[in-house]
Order: sequence, then structure tokens, then C-alpha cells
Amino acid sequence: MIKALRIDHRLVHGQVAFTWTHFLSATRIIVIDDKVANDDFQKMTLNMAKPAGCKLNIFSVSKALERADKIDSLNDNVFIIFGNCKDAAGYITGHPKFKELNLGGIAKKEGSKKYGDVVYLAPDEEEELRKIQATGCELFIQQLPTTKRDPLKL
Amino acid sequence: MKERKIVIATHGTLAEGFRSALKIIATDEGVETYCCYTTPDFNLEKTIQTIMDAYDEETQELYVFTDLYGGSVNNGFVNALKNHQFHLITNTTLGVLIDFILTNPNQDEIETKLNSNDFKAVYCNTALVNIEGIEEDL
Repeated sequence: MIKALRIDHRLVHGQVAFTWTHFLSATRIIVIDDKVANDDFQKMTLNMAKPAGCKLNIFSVSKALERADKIDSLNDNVFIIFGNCKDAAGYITGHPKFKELNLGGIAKKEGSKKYGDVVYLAPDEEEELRKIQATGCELFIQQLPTTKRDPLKL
Repeated sequence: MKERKIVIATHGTLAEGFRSALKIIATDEGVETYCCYTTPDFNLEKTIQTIMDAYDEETQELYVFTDLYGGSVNNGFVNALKNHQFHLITNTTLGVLIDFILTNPNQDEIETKLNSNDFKAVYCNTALVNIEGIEEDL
């Protein structure tokens, strides 16, 4: 079953590999990111970063959508990570079955607005997130299981 | 069950550095830090005595993490093992601390983990080349 979905531009890193994975008892991490899915070197580095005893898949949005029903019915505790808002919107609008999405880290960039300590959204990212909200999926900002959860107000 | 108490003691401000990193990645709740030899009048024996005076062996279980096997901070705590019942772990890495805080292991589990490859320093250049088992599909 799917335990959580998160957008995190750092993908599989300390907070994800240790803290969230442990908190969720995740046994499989699925990274959905078009760029990484086509970058063999980055796939290798993510495999190095994956937590011990946890499986890892890296899919493009289209490849993930082809497998969406299968992903939903896996026996694993699945933690889905998107690298950016666009790929998250691509997957969630194509498979609109999710109650909530965690915004972990979204990098500061030219023209972006601060929504949280590590969450900055440019207008095009706000647009992508609105598409996700329109599917009935609630958006919230939370760094760690032990830190506060703030609903995202766009 | 006894209350678990975590002390990190290091040369210089590494202990505060560990705390800063723990705060970002996991949590630093309940972690006490001691940055040794950062002032000219620092006294290790006194510092350890203060920690032991505040430690109630009846109700608490103390885990001390130090930075360096053979270093004076660890040597000081090794001496304290003579008169006090507590757990002492050295050559501490951030991974060891995060794992300890998140998984709350018992004594056997700690030993097994510390003896495993999970927390050793890694030469990434070779590790990257040797990566196996990339799953292309579910």
C-alpha cells in the first residue's frame, strides 16, 4: 500500500532515507522523475543512497502511470518521491486517487515565493500544484515526522 | 522500562555540530551535548562527574557517544565505566546517532549494527562502480 507521497528536490537524502522511511516503515521507495529516470549516473547515486532493506524504483511519469494500479496494490509499504511539482502533477492528475501530498523541499529560484523554510514556489509551480489540489489531494508542508505540519495555502 | 538518556561528548564543537545535523535530519530531542576543551579551564573529570551526578542508574539508562577511540574524551569516559553502569560508544558517526535515535535498539542490536558495514566510512568511488541490483521494474 502507498504510505505517503512527497515532493523533494533532493530526492533520496538523509531526511527521506532515514527518518521518513523509518517513520512510515517504508519497504519500497519509488522515485517518479522524468529527468532522473533518463540519467543512469543519477540512478546509480540514488541506489547508493537508498536505505538498507528498502527497495527502490525510479520511473518516468509515463512509465509510472502505466504501472499505477500495480503500484497501488503492492504488498510493500510504498513511499513515493517526486523531484518537482510538474512530475508530481503529471502523475497525480493522471491517477487522481491520493488524499494528500507532502511538500518536503522545493528549491528557491528566480521569481519564487517563500511558502516554508525550504519550500519556494514559482508561478508555474503554483499552477502545477493547483492541478493537484483540483483532484481533491490536500497539500501540506512538513520537513520531518516530528516537526509541524502546515497546510499549503496557494 | 528505564528512561533513555543520550550524551554526545567530543573534542571541540563537533558535538554541537552533530546536534545541528540531527535537528535537520531526525530530531535532537533529549540529546545532551558536551563540547570539550573549548575553554582553557575545561576539566574533563569534572564534566564527567557532573554527568554521572545527574544520572540515576535506578530509573535511567545512559548512552554516551564520543568522537574518537583513544582520544582523551573517550578515555575519560572509559575510566568512568569503573564506577558507573552506562553504555559507551566511540568513533561515533552521524549515521550511528540517527539510527540510534530513530530505532531505539537494545544492547544486542547496537553491537550487531556497529559491527555491520552500515556505519563504516565508505570509499564512494569504488562503491558506486560496485552497485548492484538496480531494479528496472516492480
